[in-house]
Amino acid sequence: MSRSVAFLSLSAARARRTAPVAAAVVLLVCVPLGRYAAPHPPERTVAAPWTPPGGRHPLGTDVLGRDVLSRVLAGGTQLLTLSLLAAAVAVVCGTALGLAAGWSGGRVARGVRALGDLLLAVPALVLALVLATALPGATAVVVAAVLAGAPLTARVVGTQCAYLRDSGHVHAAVERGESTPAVLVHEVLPNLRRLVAADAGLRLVTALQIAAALAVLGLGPQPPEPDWALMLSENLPGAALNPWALLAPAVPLAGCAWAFAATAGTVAHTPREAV
Amino acid sequence: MHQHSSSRVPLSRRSALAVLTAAGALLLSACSGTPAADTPAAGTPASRTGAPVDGGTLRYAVAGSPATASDDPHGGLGNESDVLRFALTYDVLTVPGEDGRTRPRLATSWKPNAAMDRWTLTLREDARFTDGTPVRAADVLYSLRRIGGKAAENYGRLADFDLKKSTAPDEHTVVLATRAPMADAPRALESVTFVVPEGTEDFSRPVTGSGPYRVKQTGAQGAVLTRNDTWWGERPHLDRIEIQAVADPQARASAVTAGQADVAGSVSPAAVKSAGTSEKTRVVRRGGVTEYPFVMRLDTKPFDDPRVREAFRLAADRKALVDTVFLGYGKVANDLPTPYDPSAPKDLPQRTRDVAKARKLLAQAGHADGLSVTLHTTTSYPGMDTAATLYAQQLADIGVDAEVKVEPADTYWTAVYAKKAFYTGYYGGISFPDLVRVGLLSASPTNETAWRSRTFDDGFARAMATANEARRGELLSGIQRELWKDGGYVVWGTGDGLDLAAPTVRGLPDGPGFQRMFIDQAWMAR
Repeated sequence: MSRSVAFLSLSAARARRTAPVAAAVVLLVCVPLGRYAAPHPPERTVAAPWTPPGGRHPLGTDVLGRDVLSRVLAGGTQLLTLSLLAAAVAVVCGTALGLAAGWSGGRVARGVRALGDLLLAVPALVLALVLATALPGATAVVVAAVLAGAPLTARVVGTQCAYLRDSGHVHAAVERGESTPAVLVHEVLPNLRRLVAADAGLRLVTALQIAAALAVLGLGPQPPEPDWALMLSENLPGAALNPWALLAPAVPLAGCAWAFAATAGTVAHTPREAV
Repeated sequence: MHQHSSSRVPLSRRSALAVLTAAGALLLSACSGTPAADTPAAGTPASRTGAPVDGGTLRYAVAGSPATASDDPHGGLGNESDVLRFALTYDVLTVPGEDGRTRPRLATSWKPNAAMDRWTLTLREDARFTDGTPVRAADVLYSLRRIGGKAAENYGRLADFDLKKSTAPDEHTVVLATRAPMADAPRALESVTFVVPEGTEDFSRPVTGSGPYRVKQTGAQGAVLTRNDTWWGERPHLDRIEIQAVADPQARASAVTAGQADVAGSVSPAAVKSAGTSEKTRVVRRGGVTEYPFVMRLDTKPFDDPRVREAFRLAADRKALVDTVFLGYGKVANDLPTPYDPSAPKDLPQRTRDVAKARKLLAQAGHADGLSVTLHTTTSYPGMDTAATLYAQQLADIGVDAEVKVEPADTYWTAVYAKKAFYTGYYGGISFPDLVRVGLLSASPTNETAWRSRTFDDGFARAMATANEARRGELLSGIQRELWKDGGYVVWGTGDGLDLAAPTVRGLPDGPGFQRMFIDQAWMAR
């Protein structure tokens, strides 16, 4: 009895760890393929606007009488690609800055930290909105995600790098006469990979939020693009007539954010031997 | 739906704004005429059969936000809740009739000189302000001059009148001078010529009026009005009218379905459709209130070629657009920019979708391999973006790749309107002569289609100097034929103004423009 309870709780814990990762992987694989599963052309009017679910339209139709299911299936790729790109750039920049600050210490570290604090004082969304007035929507998302995310990455990476600099294997490598870049890449970075991976998940969530917010405000993809966030603002007026036009894109959007955030948490907290 | 906030509209566009934009449309829709809407007030013919009952309170939820509330009836009129109160507490010179023709109100009759640039108005002798003093010609002239003086605030509402040269020769006569012959002058005086006592300068609180109701109490959220028993006109039925200023159209609609208000002014088609299933409401439809034409500039490629313009007009599936953008609460239009105007020619053949012919025209114009254009739109008014997206789909069928670009609402009217070659416009019930003055003469301040035609200019000038109404109608309709054939507008339909009302409300006006604000003959069935 006690064994089975222990087994159950173990498998539950395991499920808690693996579910987000599985969900994230499934989303990343399935979303780009969704377009091919769409029963109707996602950009064509096929019925009256706001038709409730039923018959040929399991989720009804949207503001223009387009099939909601088809649009949800076709949407998301651009949003995810853009978020992944923005997160990747933010993590690379942040990690590089963090390594530089953590390794050099002193003035460089203080400089990086001051710059980071300055950028973090501005809310990410405000930054994105200001940028979007001058830059194309996608560029604004990347730049805002980098400016808002890289300082955070730099901070955690910098702290950890400064700590690792004093560890035995790093000292040994330095004394072997290896160059600084070689030490950083071969001795420091491998020890930071879990930290960076977890951080990347959070950067991805931030980038997703920025991209979705700009799209809802009309600064992102332009109609008739089947974009989940754009669908939210397009279909708001018909919320009472066909609520599915609003709910259907909201679910995968929230699902992505959850999967990435939870994956980050799982990576950060998984005991070493479990990986 | 009509949250006309004048603050959204930049002042630099003053003259054009008079009619083309949010606030402008609101103001000048009053000067427009629409053929009588065929839907009787408050829905069914039965609503008119019973004899009116006196008494009761009407609660009217109307667009308005505290930020732009004002007690000045001569300013921007950005808040409909204020306009409703002004329409009930002040007298105006003329009002729009249900057939689109001007009706007397404070002015009992009017007569032009031979040149049509001096109008002699005779005022009623029995009008009194609520403090007992008579309404005199001097009060009228003072009020008109005050409107003229606030041109920057009210987008030049009376800019076509020369108020300096206008006079008040006796107690009950006003002679108004116009800057050019202006056969439609009485129409330009409809609805918005609120008369206050001469010399009034403090407009920080409600000023004495002479209208059918008097103000009992006001605040940023609305007002309570009680009947003015000394009013000269037909005795109003309602004892009290409570005006509730509600900015959000959905909230107005919900107020009626929830029983918190008796009427919701200007709600969205989607709100009407969602309320449609309930037995608790009826719909007042006012024709020709919203129009989102697609505007092509004649001086810019590829629209400088008349075959391209014709092809673009033939690409439009007008019924699909009306059914989608207005959810069917509207009418298909025929590329005349003011189809509701009494002067619109009635005998033109309706343009319908003809993909084959459109493709052929494009090929003849040298675009056999397709054509790429950018169609600008915005979200200022509900459905503007939807209209553009659907039309882009329809253009794809004739081989045109139209990229829709949704511009921010706050810069659209300065950066896109009257500047870009192809965009989604907005009209809110402007009259044909007003539209011509601001946008279709060679010298018009905002000639958005770059329409420059000598015959058109001459025809309009002659019409405005023609006293004979029938002859003037012919002239105005003649120049519209030219526009129909060759102009830069794709006018696919007009949307109805929609009000929701409780089933007991009777006698709500359903005429054009600001006529909806003159609810002094409304009543409540028991």
